[in-house]
Amino acid sequence: MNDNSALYAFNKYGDTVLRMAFAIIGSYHEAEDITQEVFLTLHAKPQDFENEEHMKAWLLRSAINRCKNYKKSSRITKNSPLDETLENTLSCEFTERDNEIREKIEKLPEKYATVIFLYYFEEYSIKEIGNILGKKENTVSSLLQRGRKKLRTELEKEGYVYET
Amino acid sequence: MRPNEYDDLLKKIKCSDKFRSLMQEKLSSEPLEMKDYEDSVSGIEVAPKHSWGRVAAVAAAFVLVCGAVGGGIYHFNKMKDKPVVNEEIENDYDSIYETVKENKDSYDMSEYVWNFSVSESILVREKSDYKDELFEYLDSLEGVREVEKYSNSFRSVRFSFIDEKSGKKYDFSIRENGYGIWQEIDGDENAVMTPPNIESYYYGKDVFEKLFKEALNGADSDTIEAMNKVSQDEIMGFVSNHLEKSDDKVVFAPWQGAFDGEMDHYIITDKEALTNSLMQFEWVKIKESEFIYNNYYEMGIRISEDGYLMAVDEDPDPYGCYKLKDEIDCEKLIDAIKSVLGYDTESRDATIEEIKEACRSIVDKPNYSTWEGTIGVPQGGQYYGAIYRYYNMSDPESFINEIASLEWVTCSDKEYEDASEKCWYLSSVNLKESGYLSAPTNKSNSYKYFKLKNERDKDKIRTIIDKYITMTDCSQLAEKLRIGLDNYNNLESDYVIEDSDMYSGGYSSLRGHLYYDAKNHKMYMNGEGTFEGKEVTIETVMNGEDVSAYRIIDKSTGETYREYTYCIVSPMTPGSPVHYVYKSKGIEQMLGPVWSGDPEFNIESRDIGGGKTEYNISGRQGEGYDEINKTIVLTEGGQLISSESNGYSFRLENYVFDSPDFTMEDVGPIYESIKADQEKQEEEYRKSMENNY
Repeated sequence: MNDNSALYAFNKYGDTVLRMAFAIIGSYHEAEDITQEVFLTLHAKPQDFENEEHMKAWLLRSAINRCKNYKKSSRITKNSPLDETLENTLSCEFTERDNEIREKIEKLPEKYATVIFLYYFEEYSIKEIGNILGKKENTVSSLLQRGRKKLRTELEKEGYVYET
Repeated sequence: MRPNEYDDLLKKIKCSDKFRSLMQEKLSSEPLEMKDYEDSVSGIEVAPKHSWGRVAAVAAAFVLVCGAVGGGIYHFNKMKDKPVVNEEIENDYDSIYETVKENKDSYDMSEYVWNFSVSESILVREKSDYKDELFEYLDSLEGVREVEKYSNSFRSVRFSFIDEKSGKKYDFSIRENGYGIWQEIDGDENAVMTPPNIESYYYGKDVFEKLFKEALNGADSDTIEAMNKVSQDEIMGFVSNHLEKSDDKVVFAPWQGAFDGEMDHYIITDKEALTNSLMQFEWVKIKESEFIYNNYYEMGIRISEDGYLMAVDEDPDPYGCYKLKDEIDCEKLIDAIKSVLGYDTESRDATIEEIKEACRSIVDKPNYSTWEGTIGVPQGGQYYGAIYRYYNMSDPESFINEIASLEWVTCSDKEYEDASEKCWYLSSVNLKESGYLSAPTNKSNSYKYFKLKNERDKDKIRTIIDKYITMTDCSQLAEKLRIGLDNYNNLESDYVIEDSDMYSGGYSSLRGHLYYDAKNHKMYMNGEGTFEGKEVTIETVMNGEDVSAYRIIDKSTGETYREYTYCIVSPMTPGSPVHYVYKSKGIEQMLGPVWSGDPEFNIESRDIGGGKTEYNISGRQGEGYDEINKTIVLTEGGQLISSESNGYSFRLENYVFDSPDFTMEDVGPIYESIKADQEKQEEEYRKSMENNY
């Protein structure tokens, strides 16, 4: 690979890692912290990536591990909604529904949030997710099913239906 | 939640300008030392390691030795100035702690660490200058309490105090589980085990962690490695000790704080086999706070599918907390656990009244459905095969009476879950054709489970269902379309599409030719015409079930106007305007939507001759949905011939089903070519975005 630098990786995958962290944790600010840790680690300890996909998978895995630690750490506090300040920072609008979805993301256990993000948003195949997470394809499928079920249960509690 | 709501929210999440510049600045300067950022990326760059080499026989007995401290119950003294204890017990003599502290200058302090898995104590520092800090630290602690009993653990750190002049020796050992023991040591290096020569306290696991870390600070790598070692004997001792004391019950929880209804209950069928299995893995010691409470079993020990193992609160002796050395062994660990799990067979007869009561919601909240196929996240083809159907019930009261008249017994949640065969969702009641039934209890998120007492009654369930349950009109039409997708061999046809939809980019009119190999799920459609105001040519292919791609070329420039690979429910990708199979599948899904309930459409049909039927579908799918008015024409076999709604129309012309002269285009190369182009475009887009930074 031509460029293994952390700066290159950040420019290329900064948003992806941030989204991954947000999709697991449900908090923008904590997701930023995790993103920072991931890339600063890479900066301090450069890795020898075989290709871009390898780099991306490493970054995602690193973010996932940090999210796991975050979720089980005492740092967990109630997250505030996606507020106006953040809207201005990111130049976009957050709807009430965005906040509801964010709350669901926050409540979803890490392992389900991870596979749902990788599968649903990043469009990795089950096999690829298995490689990234070091899990068998059957396990990933099962996590997807359970994650969906859990998400559905949460939404149904509030009168929503998961419409496809 | 609509599928794209998740995507929409995540798309809004991106690095802010401020964060981006901060990171770019940091990543452009020299890296800082990353002590706090020790990474743990595994499974990506680390080759999998297996640890099957060290198989040992299970030792005959479990004997745990902890440093110089033996077992037993004692009544201990307490320090007079009570710096670290809460209770007051008057006594006639100074505590060991106080004695040593008051004369600390005359003692030399040495530090030892001990790990059961390496058997002997290791001296890490002689005549340590940490002595003053140790007493200062111990004095500062709050919440330490004196104890009479203290449980075992597999690691300890020991501070040994020796007064060369008087020959007095004392030890302070603190175990991994937080128990600390002060004791006098006699001339033969044995602990003097009678009060007041020994006293014990509960300090807390964090105190052990701090002192252990302090003791290892500066220790050589061999010592550090030795302290992290977990031998097979240790795991054998840990696991067998806990399992022997526990009953046979196993509870599986998907996460901490799970409701009763979210937990599964089993019994353990072979404790020795589980002990033997767990000994085969390589474990490392971890802090208790590192245990991740996801998908874990409690059965005297707590063990998770992510490879964590620890003692449970109810049985903390011996203490231990471990993690699999290689995450890749998790699957084997899960297999090992599952191989010794059995259903909790405690069962009793259920009364007729009990079954009737359990089924009450069938009358109160009529809503009946079932599904087949895969219901997963609607991406990558996972959802394509899902078949969701809704039903009406003619006489719910009689239905319940007939179901309740069968003989039922209670069963475990897990046995119910593992039972296969079709499941009917009848309001809140789930009825499996294999003879299982679940229904909610009055408690939130809690369910009761039943199974047929006699397996011979299994066939009666299907008979009762057939007697009372019929598919709704919408689902019947959906089913006809589904069957019509591949109940023939091939189709060759011309097609015409016109679209004046205001939401599209403009008026579109395309016509071309369709080839469809139904049995192999291959489709090729070419065509030309106007699309979003441009004169274009179009190719659409399906290269296997739900693997599609299309390419639109602007005729005036010869450039590609639009080009994607996609599947039926790719929320981020615009679909081909002319995909015959997806049009049919899309209408089926509109008529039998997953989870959303039976649509409230009105369906009117009329025979239009030639074996064809015209269906007019009108109304709303449900509250909050747009009103639709769609007319479709199907053949007798359920093949879609035309579809028309809101300014959009699609129709086949000159169609021939099952032609013996049919020749299918080779769609593989076309699909691969579009895929390659798309990847190239994405790469170029990424590069252009990077250049903008």
